[in-house]
Amino acid sequence: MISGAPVTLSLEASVLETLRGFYALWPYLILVAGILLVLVVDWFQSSAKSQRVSWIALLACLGSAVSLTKLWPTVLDRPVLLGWNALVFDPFSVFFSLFFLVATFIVITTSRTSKELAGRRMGEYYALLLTATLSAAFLAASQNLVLLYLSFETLSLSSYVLAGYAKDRREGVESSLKYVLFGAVASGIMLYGLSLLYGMVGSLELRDVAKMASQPSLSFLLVMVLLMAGFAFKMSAVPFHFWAPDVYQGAPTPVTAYLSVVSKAAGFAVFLRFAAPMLGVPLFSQAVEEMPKELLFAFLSLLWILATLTMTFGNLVALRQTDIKRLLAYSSIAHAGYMLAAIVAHNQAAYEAVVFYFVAYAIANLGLFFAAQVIHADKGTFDIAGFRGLVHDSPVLAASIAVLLWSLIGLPPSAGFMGKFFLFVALVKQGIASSIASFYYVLVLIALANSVISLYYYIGIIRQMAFYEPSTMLPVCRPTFTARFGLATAAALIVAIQLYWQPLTDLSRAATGSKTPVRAVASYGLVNSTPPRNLAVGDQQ
Amino acid sequence: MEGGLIAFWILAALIVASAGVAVFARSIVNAAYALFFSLFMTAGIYALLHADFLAVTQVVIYVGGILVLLLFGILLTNRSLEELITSSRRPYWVGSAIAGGIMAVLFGILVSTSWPEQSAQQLPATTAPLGVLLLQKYVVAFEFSSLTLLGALIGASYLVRRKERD
Repeated sequence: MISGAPVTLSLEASVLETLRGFYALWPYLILVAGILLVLVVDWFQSSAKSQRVSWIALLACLGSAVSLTKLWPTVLDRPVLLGWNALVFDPFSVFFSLFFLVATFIVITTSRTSKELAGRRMGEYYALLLTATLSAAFLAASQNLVLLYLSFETLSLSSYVLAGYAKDRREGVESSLKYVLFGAVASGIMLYGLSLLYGMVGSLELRDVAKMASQPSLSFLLVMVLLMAGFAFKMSAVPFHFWAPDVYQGAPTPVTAYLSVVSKAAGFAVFLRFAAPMLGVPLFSQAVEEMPKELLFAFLSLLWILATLTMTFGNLVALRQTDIKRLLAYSSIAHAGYMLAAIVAHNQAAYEAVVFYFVAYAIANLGLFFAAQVIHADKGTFDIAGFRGLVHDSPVLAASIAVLLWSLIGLPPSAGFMGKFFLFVALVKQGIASSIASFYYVLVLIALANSVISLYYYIGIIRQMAFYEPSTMLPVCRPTFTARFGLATAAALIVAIQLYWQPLTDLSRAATGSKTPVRAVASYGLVNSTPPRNLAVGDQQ
Repeated sequence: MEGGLIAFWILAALIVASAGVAVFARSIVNAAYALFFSLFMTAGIYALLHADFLAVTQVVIYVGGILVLLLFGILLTNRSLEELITSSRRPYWVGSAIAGGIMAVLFGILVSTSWPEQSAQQLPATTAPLGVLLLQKYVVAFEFSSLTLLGALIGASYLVRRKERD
C-alpha cells in the first residue's frame, strides 16, 4: 500500500499547487529548450558543420545561468519549494546549479576545439551534456527519494554515452562499458538501500530520512553503507573508484573534465544535502535530528575510513602514473578524499569549506584537462613526456599549468591552499569542541601527509616542463592565442582567490545557509583583506 | 493457518527453488526459464500484498519485457542451441560465504528494525491512487522521467548508428 494516500484536493487547488513556485523552474526550462533545439537544429546541419550547434548549447547555459542569478536574491531571502515539495531551490541548490552551468559552459567551449571529437555529429553530444547538467542540478535540489534516484540515473545514463562518444576508438568504448557496468552495480546497491530506507521510515521525503536515526545501529549502518555506494560512485571515492582511471583515460578529454568536475560535484552536493540533518548541519529548511551519540559516531567512523582510504589510495597510485589523464583521475580521487575528510567535521564550517574547495578544484581541473587536450592536439600524446620542456614551446602555457598544479598540491599562493586550509580549520575546530579530539586531529595529519605525497607527482610534471629539453621525437606544441588566454585566466583566478578570497568565502557561506557576514565598512582599501576576520571561514555555528 | 499465509509460503518456496535453478543451471537457457518462474511468482507475492498494480507491472515489464528480451538475446547471439553458453564451475564456497553473510546481516535487520506496519485487512485498489499521486505529489519526478527516457533514446540511437549520418 502506498504511504500517505493521495491528497484529496479539488482540481483547481491541485493545479494551483502544481504551479506554485513555478517561476523558479525557468532556468531549467531554458536548458530543456536548449536540449530540444540542439537536437532539431542538428538535423539540418551537414556533418562538417555539426559543431555549429554548440552555440545553441552555450546560449542555453548562458540564459539559464542569467536567470539563475536573477533567482538568487529571492532564494537567499527564502527558499522556494515547488512541485509538491519535490524540489527545493535554496542558495545551496542554486549555487550548485550555477556551478554546474559555468563548468558546462567551459566544457562546451573546450569541446568545440577538441580534436578527439572532430568530424563527429555533435548534436547528440551537446544534448546529452545539457541533459546531464540538468540532472545534476536536480540532484542537488531534489527533496524526495524518487526524484533523487531518477536524476541520479539520468546523470549516469548521459555520462555513459558521453564517455563512449568516440565510439570507433577501442579505449573509448571499453571505458564506457566499464562505466556502465560499475554504474549499474552502484546504483543497484543504492536503490536497495533506498528501498530499505523507505521501509524503515515509511516516507520518501528527504526531510523524514533523519528519522532513520531512531532505528537500531545495525539497520542504520547498513542503509548508510548501501547508499554510500551510490554517492561514492559519483564522487569516485574508494571503494567505488575503480571506474575512474579507465573512464577518465578513455573518454574524450572534455568529457573527462566534465566527469571530474560536474559529476563529482553533483555526488557531493546530493550527499551533503542528504546527510545534513544527520550530521547536525541545518542546511536551510531541513530540520536537524538529534542523533544518538553512538550512531553519529558510527556514521562518522564510516566516513573517516572512507576519506582516509580514498585520499591515501588516490595519492599512492598517482605516484606511478605516466598518462596525464590517468594521473589526474587518481588525483581527483584523492581530492574527493580530502573533501570527505572535511565532512567528518560535521559542522557548518565543513560545509562551507567543501563548497570553497570545489571552486578551487574545478578551476584547476578544468584548466589542466584543457591543457592536456591542447598538448595532445599538437603532440598526439597524453603521456607526461608530452609535457617535457614545455616551457620552451610556450612559456605562458607551461607557467599556467604550473600554477594550476601548484593549486592542486595546496601550496600558497593559490586557491587550493585556501581550500585545504579551510578544510583543516573545520576539522580542527570540531576537534577543539569535541571530547574525542584525536579522532579529528589524526585525520588532519593523514590529509597533510597525503598532501606531501601528492607534492611528488605534481612537482614531477612541473619539473618535466621546466628543467628538461623537449623531446625531439614529438612535434612542437603551438597553442592558439585563445588556449593560452583561457589557461592564463584560470591561473590568474587561482592566484586572485588567494589574494582576495572574501567574495568566495561569502559565497560559500551564503550557499550553505550560514548568516551572511556583516561587511566591515571599508574605510580604506585594506579592510577587506584583514587576515584574522577572513581566516575564520566558519566562525559562527 | 489462513489461506493467504499458505499461499505465501508456497510462492516463497517456488521463488527460492527456481532462483536456485537459475543460479545452478549449466545451460543459460534453462537459467533464463527458471528466472521466468521466479519473477512470475514474485508477482504473485505482490498480489498477495494487495499491490495489484505492482503485480501487473511485474508481469508486464519483467516477465513480458525483460525476460523475452533476454531469451531473444541468447537465441540471437548463439549460432545454434547445441553450443550452449554454460556458466563456469567455480568453487561455490566463496560465493556461498558472501551470500550467507549478506543474508545473516539482512536477517538481523529484519528482526531488529521496527517496521511501520499497516493492517492488511481491507485495502483499496492501488491503481487509481497511484495515478493521482503521479500527477500530484510526484509530478516533477513523472515529468522528469521523460527527460531520462529522452536521454536514453538519444544515447542508444547514437551508439547503435553504424555510420555518421550527413
